[in-house]
Amino acid sequence: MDKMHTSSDAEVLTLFKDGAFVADTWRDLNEDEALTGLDHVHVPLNVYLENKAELDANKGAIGLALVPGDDVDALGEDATKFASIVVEFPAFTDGRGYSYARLLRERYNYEGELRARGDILTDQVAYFFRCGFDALTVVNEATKKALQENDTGAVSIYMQPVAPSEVPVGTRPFLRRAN
Amino acid sequence: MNAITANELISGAVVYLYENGDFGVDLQLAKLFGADEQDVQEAMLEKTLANPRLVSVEAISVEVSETGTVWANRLREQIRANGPTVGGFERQTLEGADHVSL
Amino acid sequence: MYRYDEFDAAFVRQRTEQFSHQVKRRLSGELTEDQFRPLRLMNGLYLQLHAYMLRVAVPYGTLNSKQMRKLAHIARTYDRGYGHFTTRQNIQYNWPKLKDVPAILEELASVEMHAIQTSGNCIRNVTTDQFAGAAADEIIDPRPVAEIIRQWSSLHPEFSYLPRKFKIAITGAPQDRAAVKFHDIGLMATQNDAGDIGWRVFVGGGLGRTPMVAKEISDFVAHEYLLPYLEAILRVYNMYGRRDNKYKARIKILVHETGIETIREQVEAEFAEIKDGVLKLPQGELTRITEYFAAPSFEEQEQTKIDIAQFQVTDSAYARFLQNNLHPHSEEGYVSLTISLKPIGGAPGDATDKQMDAVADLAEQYSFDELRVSHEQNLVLPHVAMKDVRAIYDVLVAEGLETGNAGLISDMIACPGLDYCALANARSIPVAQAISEKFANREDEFGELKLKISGCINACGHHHVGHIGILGVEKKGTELYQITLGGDATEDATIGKILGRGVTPEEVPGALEKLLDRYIAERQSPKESFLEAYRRLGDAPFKEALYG
Repeated sequence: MDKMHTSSDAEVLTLFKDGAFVADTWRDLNEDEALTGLDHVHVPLNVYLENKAELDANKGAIGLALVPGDDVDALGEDATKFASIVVEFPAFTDGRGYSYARLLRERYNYEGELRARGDILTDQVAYFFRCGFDALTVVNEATKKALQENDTGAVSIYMQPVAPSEVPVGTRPFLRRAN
Repeated sequence: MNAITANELISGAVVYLYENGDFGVDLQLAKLFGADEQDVQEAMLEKTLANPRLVSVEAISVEVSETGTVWANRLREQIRANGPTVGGFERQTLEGADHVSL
Repeated sequence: MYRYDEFDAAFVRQRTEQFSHQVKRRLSGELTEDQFRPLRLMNGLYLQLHAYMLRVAVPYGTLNSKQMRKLAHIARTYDRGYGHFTTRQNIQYNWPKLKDVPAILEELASVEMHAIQTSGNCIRNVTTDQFAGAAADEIIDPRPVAEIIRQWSSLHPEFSYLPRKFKIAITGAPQDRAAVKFHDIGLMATQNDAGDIGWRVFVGGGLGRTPMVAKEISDFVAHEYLLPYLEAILRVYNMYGRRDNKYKARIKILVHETGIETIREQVEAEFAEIKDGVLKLPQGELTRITEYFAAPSFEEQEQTKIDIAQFQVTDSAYARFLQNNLHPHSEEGYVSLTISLKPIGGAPGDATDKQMDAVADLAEQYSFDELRVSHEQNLVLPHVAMKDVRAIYDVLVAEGLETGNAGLISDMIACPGLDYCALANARSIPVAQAISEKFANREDEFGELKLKISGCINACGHHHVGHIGILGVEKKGTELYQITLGGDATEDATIGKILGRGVTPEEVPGALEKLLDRYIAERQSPKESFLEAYRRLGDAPFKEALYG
């Protein structure tokens, strides 16, 4: 990435990771783009499933793009091959991606970057992180502002575990955890 | 004929667009749009929708009786204009002022 | 009953602060209505016809006196001196102002209550038998499991944006008083061959525009595996439930379109993956929660029977009350007492602040500080010594709460209808009132009769499962009421059948009179209930009675 980032660029940064908006080094695969010589490109699941060998031959980093309706189980343990997976949330009301995230993290042992992208409201940020996302691509101005100011107003007490790591043994009775 | 109605944000009260451009609770003072005033109505509707103090914005169908009383055509709108038909409850009032300025 | 520890208290406090903050941002204009709406809905705040409506959760319908007094206080201070108890065992306030809602939520939090997840496409308040922990026919008290489900489902990060709302009901008794087969998930206590108690799980029930009886997905799930099993169902639903059409988004449609066998396979596969994971319930936790629901310290009672006959002539109203409003208790000398919120000519489910205070006092004095809200929109004192029934009744008389009509035609369910609700097509309350008045002197003659009225196809008034159901629709700008017969919300779950063309509001009481007169004429004995007679006779005589 040779692009210089000036202060005015900060406003257009949409990738939120590790507590800050940062430059995005990834892009989506273009339609009809050749599947060779790719680096830092998110490839749709169906493209991957149909062209595994060709995509695996790339030397650069390949990522995966999931949309609601994709079959995460069809991907399975292959998930671990990717450096970044982005899950699309075309509307905040479509919560399928939360399940995809948990399956990737908890069932298919995916440990790479996991992004949520799309219609992301402030109220949802905490849910994303709890389900295993560690990056958000945000365009909603109110959400961006809340993230920038670390003011999502999230409830930091959890009434249920969603992953084994969330519940240190002996700290809380069974189900619950304070962040 | 149509009138423009909404609910006011803070109280939730039912309000109507008046002739003078304010919003208030009295259907009798509502600005009425004739069939030939579609454009004006649309413009006012747009303006109303943009007002953060007003929610559930709608144009409703009304009639004027011979004595000049404005009647909402649908029962739903009659109930919004007059309050619940049971229990003797008055309609919700606006907080503070008796109208909302656009 | 369950008591908050510091953890629960902090949880609700944070959530209340979060919402106060959101309200502030809305009032300042920072949030648009489109952005604010989902946030307020997740906190039970609707915008109805005349005002906001706040729906407060009463977890599995259980309250103590302090909480009831707080509900009265809120009605008095922030509303118009009354509240409306709902079929989901919750309470709704019809006139709160947005600026007061944070204060109301703070008041609620001070008594371990909230409005979390009383709306939105999430897991709603778990409902149960109003006689839970008291009923003589109970296999197990369902409240500890209901509480465990409540905790698991509260602000669940994976299941807060489901295709549609999700309702779970649970009963510990074989006689189902919680309509579990008409919920997205219904749980019914059962005993397996080894003698262990666990849960039959039903999935895909519901009312609304496409009523469905739930199908059994598992005949036995042990307590320890219940949460993984529920999570498996929710995950399958979250991933595969329809999102293209709001009216086809409930799990009942998924079950119907996919088939229960396929859904069972998917759920079982998911369950196999997670069953021994973090949601497996340790016995210690079940025991810990169950201890909150330990039976109160019942005393040995001298009086173990109530002789109703002795009042039949001298105090017939009291005799009726005894006949209808007492339910058998597991403890000798005790009963559960139903306080009807269906006075003749009243608005079903409404209670004034003064009545709520009086009921709170009664609970404190006579029912070990416990109260219940029933899905039939009444209040219940679950543990009353028989010797105290008269004293309670006298207080109820003073408060206008003595109606002895539990289970009779005037003890009807009715939604708020077009007088309040933004979704309604027709009014429910005036129709309910007219029916109640019409039959005030004949209801004993009709015996057990479940009448349920909805003001639109969303069926909040459960009309599909009324022995007689009434559905208000709008036709050519006027109200019209369809009558259905033969519905049943119990373990014999049945969806009522539409009898024929609708009638006008004025015609409803007369139409019912024709149907009921025909029932009286046709029944084999006064012991044969309306529902039994309908099942034996079918539609024909009733059609003839109504339409000639």
